[in-house]
Amino acid sequence: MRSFWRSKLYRESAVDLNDRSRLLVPYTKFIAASATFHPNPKSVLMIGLGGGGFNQFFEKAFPAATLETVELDPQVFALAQKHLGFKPTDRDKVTVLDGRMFLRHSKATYDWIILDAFRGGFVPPHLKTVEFYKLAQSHLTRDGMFVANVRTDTALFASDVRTMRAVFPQLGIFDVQQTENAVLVATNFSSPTFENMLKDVGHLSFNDTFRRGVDPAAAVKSFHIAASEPDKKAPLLTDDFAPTEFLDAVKNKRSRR
Amino acid sequence: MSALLFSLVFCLGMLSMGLQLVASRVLAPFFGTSIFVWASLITTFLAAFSTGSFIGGVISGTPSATQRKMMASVMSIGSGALLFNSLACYAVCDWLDLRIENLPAKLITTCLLLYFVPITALSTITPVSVAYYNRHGKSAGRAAGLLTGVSTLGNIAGVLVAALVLIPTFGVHNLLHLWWISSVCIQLPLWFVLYSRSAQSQPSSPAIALDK
Repeated sequence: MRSFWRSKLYRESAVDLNDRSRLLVPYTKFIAASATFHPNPKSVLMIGLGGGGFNQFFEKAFPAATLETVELDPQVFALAQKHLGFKPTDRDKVTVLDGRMFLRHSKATYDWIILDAFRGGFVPPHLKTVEFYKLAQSHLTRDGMFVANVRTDTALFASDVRTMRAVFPQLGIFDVQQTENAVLVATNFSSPTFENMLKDVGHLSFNDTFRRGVDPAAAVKSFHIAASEPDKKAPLLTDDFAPTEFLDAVKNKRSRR
Repeated sequence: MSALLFSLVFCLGMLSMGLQLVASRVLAPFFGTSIFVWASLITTFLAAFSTGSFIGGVISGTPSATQRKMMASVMSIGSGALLFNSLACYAVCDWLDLRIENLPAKLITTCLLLYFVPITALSTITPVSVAYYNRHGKSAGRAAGLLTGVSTLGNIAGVLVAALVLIPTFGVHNLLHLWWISSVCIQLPLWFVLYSRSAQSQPSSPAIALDK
């Protein structure tokens, strides 16, 4: 197994070099578990490559789908190829660019858009605002969903939830046990509801690679629907006002660490 | 009068560098927050500091009546450019982003269009203030050292206040309005300090005066 660590603080990505389609990092299993709400994606956009661990899982778990990845840092892309066995293909392309810039200039639509773009432990403010989520929403298919890996241990989490809830018709949260992460799932549709989709989770069909990484029935036990009433104490993040670094510096009292 | 001059130069220093942090928030939705953005911003600001110093140096060597008019024009252009920023910065970013393909080219063009003029205008004031202080009996070296030092302290304060107080508290739009209003409120009294009748009637002291 080989991992990317950020200053010995946390593991950014990991790949089992003997079994590259195996998901190792806990939160990536919950990103995959979001498939519960859209099990047959044809086209997926991922903002943030990391070590390419999720990409290598996705290629085998969804062999009929394409995954397009946008990564800001050319060094991250180079390291993923050199040390973690990642090889871009026609079905798994990588563009080195800022994720928001990519979307601004793209006309493509996607079934899933996944945001997993941390820089030094922070998600850049321009990828957390109402305007960015609206831009992402405009690139989703009608039954598409937006999935974001976020941290839960700071005051920024409440703002993340409030801001995404303000844009998307439905928002749900996977709590990633024993970590300070959560995976937020926002849908571009209000029907079917999360409640109805969760009833069908036992009937969804996924291939062996997927089931080796994720047990959807177990994962949804960590899922809850975000309150429809926003937490008005948490600032709504906009391009005009997004004090993300400062909210991220305020530790939550309910922090699990 | 010196205390007022130093205070106003300090405040202008705050405005100059504080704007750089606010500018990073203006550019982010269009161009991100990558190293290219920071390189373009820092290059533009340093180019403007340099150009402003050259222009200020030239203006400070002109006759008093010409200098009054030229500095009134420079200060008005600076405040006008900041007002333009507050009204049209997003439109400029959007327009250029969609028309220029190459990322470094579109970034440097945007930064130059939005920030070169106001920062150049603000930077002309230090050499003119040095000349004023020099005329009032301080050696050129002492005048340049004190005013450059005070202006740079203002730069430091501007970065810290923008990063730790203003950006976490106010929206970018309100901050840009604060910037042009502050620039008017600082430059107007500064112009009177530099060019009022009493300022002009002070005994002139040549630049070769000994350091005191």
